[in-house]
Amino acid sequence: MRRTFIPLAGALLLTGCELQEVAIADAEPFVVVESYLSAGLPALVALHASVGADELLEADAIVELVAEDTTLTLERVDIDRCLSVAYDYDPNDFPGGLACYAQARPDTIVPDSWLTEAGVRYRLDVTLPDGSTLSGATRVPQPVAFALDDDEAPDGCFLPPWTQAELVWNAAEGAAAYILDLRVFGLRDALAAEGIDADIDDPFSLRGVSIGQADTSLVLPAQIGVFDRFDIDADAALALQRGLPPGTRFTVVLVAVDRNYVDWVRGGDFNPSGPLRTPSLYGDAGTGVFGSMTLDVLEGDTDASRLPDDAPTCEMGSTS
Amino acid sequence: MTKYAALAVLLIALLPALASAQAPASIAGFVRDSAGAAVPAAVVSVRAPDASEPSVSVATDDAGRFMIPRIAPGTWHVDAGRIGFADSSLVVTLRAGERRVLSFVLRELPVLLESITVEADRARQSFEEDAGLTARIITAEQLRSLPGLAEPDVLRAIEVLPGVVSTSDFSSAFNVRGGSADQNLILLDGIPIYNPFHLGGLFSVFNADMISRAELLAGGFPAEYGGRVSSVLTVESDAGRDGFDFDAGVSLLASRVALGDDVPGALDAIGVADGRWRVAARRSYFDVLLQPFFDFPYHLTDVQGYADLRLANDDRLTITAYSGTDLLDLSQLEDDGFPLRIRWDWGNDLVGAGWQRALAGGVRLGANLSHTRFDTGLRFPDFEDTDFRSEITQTSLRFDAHVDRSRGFGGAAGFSLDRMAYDNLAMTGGTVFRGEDGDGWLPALYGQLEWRDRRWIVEAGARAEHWSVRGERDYTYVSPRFAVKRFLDDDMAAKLALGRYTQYVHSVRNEELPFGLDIWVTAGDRAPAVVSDQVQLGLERYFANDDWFASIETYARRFDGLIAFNVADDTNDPRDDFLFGHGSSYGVDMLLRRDRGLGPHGWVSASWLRASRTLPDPTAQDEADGRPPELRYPPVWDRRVDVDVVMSQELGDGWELGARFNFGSGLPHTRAIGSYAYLDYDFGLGGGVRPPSEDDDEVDEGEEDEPFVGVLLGPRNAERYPAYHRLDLSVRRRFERDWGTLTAYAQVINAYNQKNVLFWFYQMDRDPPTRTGISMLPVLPTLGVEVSF
Repeated sequence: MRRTFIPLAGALLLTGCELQEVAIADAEPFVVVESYLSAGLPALVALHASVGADELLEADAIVELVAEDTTLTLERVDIDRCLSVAYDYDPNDFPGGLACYAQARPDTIVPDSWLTEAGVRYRLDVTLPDGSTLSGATRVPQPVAFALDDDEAPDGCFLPPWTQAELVWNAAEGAAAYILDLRVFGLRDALAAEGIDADIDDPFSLRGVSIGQADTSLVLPAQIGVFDRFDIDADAALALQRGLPPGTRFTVVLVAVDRNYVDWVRGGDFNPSGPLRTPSLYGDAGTGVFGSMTLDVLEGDTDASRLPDDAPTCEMGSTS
Repeated sequence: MTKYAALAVLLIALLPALASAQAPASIAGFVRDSAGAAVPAAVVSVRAPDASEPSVSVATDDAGRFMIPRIAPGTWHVDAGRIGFADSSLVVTLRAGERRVLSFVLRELPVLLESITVEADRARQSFEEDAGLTARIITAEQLRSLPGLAEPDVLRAIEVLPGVVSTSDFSSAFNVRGGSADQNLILLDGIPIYNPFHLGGLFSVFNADMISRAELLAGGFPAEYGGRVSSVLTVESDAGRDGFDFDAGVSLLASRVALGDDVPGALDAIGVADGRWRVAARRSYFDVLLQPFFDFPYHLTDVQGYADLRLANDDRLTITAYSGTDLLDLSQLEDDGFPLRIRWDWGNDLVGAGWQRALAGGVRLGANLSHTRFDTGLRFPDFEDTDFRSEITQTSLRFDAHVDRSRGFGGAAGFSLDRMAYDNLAMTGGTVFRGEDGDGWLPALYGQLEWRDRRWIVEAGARAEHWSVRGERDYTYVSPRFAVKRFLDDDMAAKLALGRYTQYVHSVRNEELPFGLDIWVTAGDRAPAVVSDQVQLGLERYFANDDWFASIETYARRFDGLIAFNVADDTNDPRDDFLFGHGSSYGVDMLLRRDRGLGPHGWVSASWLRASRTLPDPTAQDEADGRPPELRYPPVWDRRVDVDVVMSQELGDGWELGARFNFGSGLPHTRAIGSYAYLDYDFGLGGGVRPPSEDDDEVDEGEEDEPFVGVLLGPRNAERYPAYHRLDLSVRRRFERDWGTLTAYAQVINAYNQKNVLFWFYQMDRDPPTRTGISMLPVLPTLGVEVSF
């Protein structure tokens, strides 16, 4: 096979042009605050410091969440509370350290109203021990739900193998975008059974996105995974344009996210030193995001025999 | 808008008829050299047989053409001459109403003067006739003698003129006197051309075989020019030599061929008396050259045609056409390691025609009709839901009338009607990430009065424009222009020019990126019109028998209506995609130029510039009024000091040396001040943060498993890269043979391999933090061969 090395070709004129590496003055220490309020869940605030500035997190910060006239002071808790359960903590992934702030005992001290509520405006104030601060606000989008009601498909919907289904949901006021996280179970084996040898994980994850409050539909699975097409196995990507193979199950998490979240994840201007993020927390302590969201979940299966007889199909386009 | 179009068509239709009522007897024709090449700027005079002084004199145009109307019947001596040539005379007897066509052939004098001298005369003519205009001319000969990347490139040559900044070796885009690159109007035979670049900006679309000359109007342009606020670059096509001619070239970039001839006599039947046509084609072959090593399925092709015709009634008709395409076709690769099939193309198409008529009393009429288009499309054949495209078109109709300044007063007036339309779309995965389109009409009127005496030239004019986009905001501007020149003696003059300039189109390309394609949008609700008020003051002088020219100019400019991408736009607000701001620039440009005489030719230019931009900062906390605070910063083209030295020297026996040296103080950049773990939020199972999944990728043996980090930046463009300097050299050897001329050339770009900085990468996650980067072009020798006959 002919050697194809497109990145090198694209950088042909740059070959041999790398400049000598030199040491420079130390980086400025700062704190990054990441907090994402999810309707129905308690608040979590993760603080991580810039690389080499772990000492900024040694003493506790004051982290306050304000809703209307009420203020909740979050306490420093075990960092596991702020981490995804799907992730095995590795301190090397947090070269500036990590601190987590949450309600210490939400079941007993915090009234139910402190579970994040859709449509409510919250303010976050973080004060570091040295007096520097970060603060910002978010309004949680209104509830979002697939057009296929949970009552209609309590055990999931049916997606015939190798077909597409248009997923439809309501326009959630305050949403800047909708993110669809698709997890497909058994895809690798199912593709292998079809003669497609795909080098993919199981479960296999893809992400789709709709921009703007009014864009409330997406086709499953073809239109989910646009950001993954460069990374995933090409055979799997092409197969997904036709649908899901028989035997696969899937879960779709539909998330209506606010503008703060969108600003943070889409980044800012180009800079050769690395990706930038547009903050929603401001102050002299550093940078950060204070985003919010509401979500809904849909489960489905390509094997009708695993679903109740009256399970609806996943196609929702006719309901829009 | 249809009434404007109808009015313009009516004007065009009526003018020839109106004009034909003039001039009972006239003389027209060509002046060529002994090789058949047109001789522009030659003086053709008519005098009575017994008179020593001519009754009337005119100068030939770029095509060597002249026209003398309203001559009384009788016998006349007609003389043609120009510096460097022996005079030629003819005696003619004109009958009443006769139109006589004459053809002069001027023999070169024993001491050959280069055709550059012709342009030196033109520059002198501009010195004597233009009040405020700053015009810098690059000739075809200078273009070839300038060392360049692989082959002569007019946009690369522009970079070494005073007041012009180039931010990267990898881009032919340029900035003039603090303006952004999209504020330069680039015209091919008067036809606007958008994104005139190949290979992401590395080369321009202009084929050197088809260029007669290029002229950069860096400031003080009169009322007839509209459409851009910073500069006008006019590139004129070359109709070629007398009879059949052929040029071909082979460089490391491309092969190119051009051929031309006189128009066939059979065209008499359709009213074409004589003229020339010429076509050229070019194709790159990176894809072929690199194939033994790896696949690089990219190539460019372009085709250009030009015809310069004299009609039976002595009118001049020119026709220009160009089509060029770049194609990166990754859809046929046989490599499992490259998962996506991609096809990306971009290019320009344009076509236009111009008509000119000379009338009695020094009146010249002209009309032009043209259409230009730039488009690009990025396609993924396997994914039908993906469509990335951008297109802009402009259709122009214009009519101009000039009255030569023969009796103290002169002037110009005109009307134009433009239609601009754009369509940008970025859609994939069922979502439109970016989509906008629009079209608008731009009727414009201009008028300019000129007055001069022995010591003064005064030009005053105005341009009125009305830009309207369907369903969006209209813009109406009257832009005054004023210029005055005071001759301090025959060879020295001071000049002052003031004016307002407007434009209704923006490029939204991030100029922080050193290469890339412009994406265009027009003014309307989303983006304002650009309005720039400018003033410039200069002193210029010829000396040493006109061999040398020196000028110094200072200028100040203010730009309103600038835009930049809003990185924090509201996805639910289609009107906030761009940030609106303003900017300013001021500076000094100096030029010392030698275009004639024995010895080396060339120029030294030195520029000092201070530019700034003020735009809202969407990454900062909003002010009390809910708007982001404004941020003032130097743009990436704010090169404070720029010095260029350009030199060419003929050594005899066909040898010619060329050299180009450029020094530029450091350009601004924004440095990283720290880095931090770049995290994702996991929506499922109760949320929580985690490193991006890419971080879980397997790490190659020996490679360090480093966390994925984002960066925090310091103040925008607050730091500067080291100074830029580069020396390019070229040597050409011309072999004259019976069948024609063969020219071999060798060039060395960046002769002493200076590591000029393109980017610095700050790695703030290292201990200690480090800085590395990528340099611009290293030492790069290239070879090429050209053939002509």
